[in-house]
Amino acid sequence: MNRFDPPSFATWMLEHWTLGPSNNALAGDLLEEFRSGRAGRTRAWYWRQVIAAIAINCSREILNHRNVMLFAVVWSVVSPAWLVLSSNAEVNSRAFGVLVRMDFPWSTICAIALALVTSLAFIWSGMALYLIPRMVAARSFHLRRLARCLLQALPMFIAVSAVPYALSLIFGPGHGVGIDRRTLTPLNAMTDLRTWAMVERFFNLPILLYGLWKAQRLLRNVPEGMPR
Amino acid sequence: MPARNRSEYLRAAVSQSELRLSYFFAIIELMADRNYLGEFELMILLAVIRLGQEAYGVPISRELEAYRRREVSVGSVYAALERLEAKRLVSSSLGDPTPERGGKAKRYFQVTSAGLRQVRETRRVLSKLWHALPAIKENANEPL
Repeated sequence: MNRFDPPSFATWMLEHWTLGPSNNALAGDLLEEFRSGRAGRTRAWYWRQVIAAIAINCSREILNHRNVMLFAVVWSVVSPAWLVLSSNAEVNSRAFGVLVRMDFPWSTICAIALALVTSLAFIWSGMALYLIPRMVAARSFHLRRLARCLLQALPMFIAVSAVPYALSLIFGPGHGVGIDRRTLTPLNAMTDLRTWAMVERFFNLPILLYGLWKAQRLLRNVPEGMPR
Repeated sequence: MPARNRSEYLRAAVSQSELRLSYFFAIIELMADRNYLGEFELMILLAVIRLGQEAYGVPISRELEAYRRREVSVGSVYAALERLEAKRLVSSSLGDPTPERGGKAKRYFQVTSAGLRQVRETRRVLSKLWHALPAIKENANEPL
């Protein structure tokens, strides 16, 4: 590295953490200005410019997707109620009785799979609730497109759902340790501010945000030949 | 209300509500759009006019730095330019990539006729407002 090379990690951050039509030009401008040798064009200056560019980009993305933000926050707040409803449904179902009687490791595998499916169903129903009225209003509703939109949340779901499960395996069986959800009503769960409910909301929010944000980008950039 | 009139009224209401639904989300998206120039946007428009054919990120930022006498974030310049482009007050085109820029192309900006109209209008309004003020005293802490 010589004095004409800007900090490589800052350049990497600029190229990967910003979006928009001007980002290539912006990266080129910063490089040109850094190499110009003008007074004050130091590595610290480059870092300041990169951090400012990322912050501006983030705030712009949030402002451009404020409806998504609002919906994701509201839907995440509701998530403990979904957990209570699904717990009650599981306990009352015949399949749950079969699951309880299974031997290890199948009982654990099936319990984890059931919890993941329940969680994913919550994320997907929220996304569908947000996307379907918009697709219908834009006269572009198509099941295949909706399915593609819903799949956008999957990478973040896999990444984020691994964390609570790792934690729950370390600290006890399943999230909501010490909480008997059968005693709760959905309304109680919605207003519950205890750790289990906040953890549930905390992990659902980024999945919803990411999924809806990616889905909106997908809806805006429909390639030729795809049903609109 | 007679039965026929009522059904016609209902049919019209249904078609209107469909129309409303289809434009509802578009209206929400457009609600935040502003129709006036901010201070920074005006400065950038003036810099782009002054630079003419050479208006891209680096000289625009240098121009602003020279006049404002403080560091300018190139990211904020681009954010403002993109807002101006969305309002169709400027247009942009890509130049050729150059090695000193790491193979990245320059993005040149030009003011559109709508942009020029907006600048003239802003100048007219600001001039009127300034002329309507009493003379500013030397001591900035005193009231105007």
